[in-house]
Amino acid sequence: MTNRPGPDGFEQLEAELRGALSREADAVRPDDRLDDIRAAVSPIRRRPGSWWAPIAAAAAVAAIVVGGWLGLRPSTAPSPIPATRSTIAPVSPAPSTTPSTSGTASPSTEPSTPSTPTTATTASTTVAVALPVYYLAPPGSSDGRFGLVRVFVPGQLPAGATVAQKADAALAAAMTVPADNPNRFVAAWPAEVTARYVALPAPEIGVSLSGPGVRGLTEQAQRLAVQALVWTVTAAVQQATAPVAVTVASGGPIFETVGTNVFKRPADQQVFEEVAPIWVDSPYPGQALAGGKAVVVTGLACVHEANVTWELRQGGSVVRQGHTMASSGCPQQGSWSVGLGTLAGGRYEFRATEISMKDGSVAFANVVPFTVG
Amino acid sequence: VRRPSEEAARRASDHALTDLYAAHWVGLVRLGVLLLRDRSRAEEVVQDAFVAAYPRLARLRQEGTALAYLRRSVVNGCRSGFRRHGVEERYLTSVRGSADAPGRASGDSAEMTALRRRDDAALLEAVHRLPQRQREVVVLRYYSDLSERQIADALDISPGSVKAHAQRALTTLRSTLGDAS
Repeated sequence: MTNRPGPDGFEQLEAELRGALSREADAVRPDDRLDDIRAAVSPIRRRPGSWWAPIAAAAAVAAIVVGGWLGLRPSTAPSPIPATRSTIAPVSPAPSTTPSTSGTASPSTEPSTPSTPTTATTASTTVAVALPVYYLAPPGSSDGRFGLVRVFVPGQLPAGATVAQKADAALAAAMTVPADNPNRFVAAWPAEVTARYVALPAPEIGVSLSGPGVRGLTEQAQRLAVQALVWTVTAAVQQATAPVAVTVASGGPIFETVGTNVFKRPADQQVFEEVAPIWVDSPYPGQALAGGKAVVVTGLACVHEANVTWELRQGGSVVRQGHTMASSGCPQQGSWSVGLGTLAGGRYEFRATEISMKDGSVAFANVVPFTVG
Repeated sequence: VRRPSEEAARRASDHALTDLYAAHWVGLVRLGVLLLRDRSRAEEVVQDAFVAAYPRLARLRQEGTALAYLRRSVVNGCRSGFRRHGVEERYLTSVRGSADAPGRASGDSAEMTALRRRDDAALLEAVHRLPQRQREVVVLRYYSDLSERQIADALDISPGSVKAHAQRALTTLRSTLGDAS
């Protein structure tokens, strides 16, 4: 690298930029996609005599996606959303494997900048979002511990949603475990109990519960059930370090052993004490992926020697399995990914597991069902 | 049945694809990650760039312009993807860039490593919050190490605009980081 000179007076900042960007880039270990590229340009997928058929098809798909996205853009003032359990309605946002380069799909001589269509007529007052929601996962073995699992829950929010609307939507999702619950997330809150965001003088934020949590959870589960709300609301308002005052409107403690108080996420060094061993970020549970595109599963892990074991199941049978390494081992959370290549259409279940070093049993499993269209 | 000339063109493109993929796949994905902060989507953008360029890869390689062409496609693709996923991405990156983000927690690393990561995270977050053009200029200048002329070509703007975007970006970054410290 030649370190080209930039504007005068910024030498130190420029050096920091070069270092930070370089370190960030060096940590990226791309999957091998040469086979996918070859498959995409294979003559088998072209119409006979048409060199450009797959590219034209890709352009058409990209155009549809862009149009679909524009269809979500608002044209009228946003309407408030109630903080109820139905706030997050499952939708099908564009999957991560959606073709994303309408510009590059152009058969013109030079790659073009994606144009901005101006003919969208079906504007909406909501936009698709993926809210980071934290759930309480049970231990995978008798000597294990509870842990928080982050799930990106798809939903819709009014365009230009306020901090309170975002927080209320995320809290509403966090109060109810998903209907399809292969990970056996713990239902820590009675059905009638709601949680609302409360604005407080900075740096604090507040959560008001309409009632206490369920009874009979272990002490650790009670503490982490509250922390799940703390992680969720601080993620929603994008203030990870904010103290969160949790109150119960009906009075009394939150759980038998947890009274109302001000809570925080743990410091970076102690995060491992609250998170579950393995998170799966993508695909999210129930996601419908487009067919014909490589499927890549990504997530975080805080496991022994950074070793993540995985299986891809279909109809109860294991169709593929393997191991992957996270970028770091516990107590740090490291990122990991598994390239599954192009999958045939159908329903699948991805299971990422931590194997016990003691006896080889499954110490923890994170299960994500998804479909390929 | 393909004509002989078509078959020869396909073979030439296949060879060019193999060579260019080996030389530039990783670097282009890393460029995409810096622009999108999402590895999976960056891989898709770069994959699509290779697919779209495939018919002319042999000629581009011969002209010595393949990398510039692919890089321009990737920047355009990232811009498109960034717009499309804007709302969702802001949420995702906001979480990934904070306390629960991969590689951000300090764990048992050396103190200096932890501090550097924290500094990097703040700087990268500030870069990500720059206006799109400024962010592209910053990444192409300080990661890809391109000249003003090369950046101008990649972004289809004038060299003067590159200089102006760079100046504004650095001013904003210094102000942002200064305010945060």
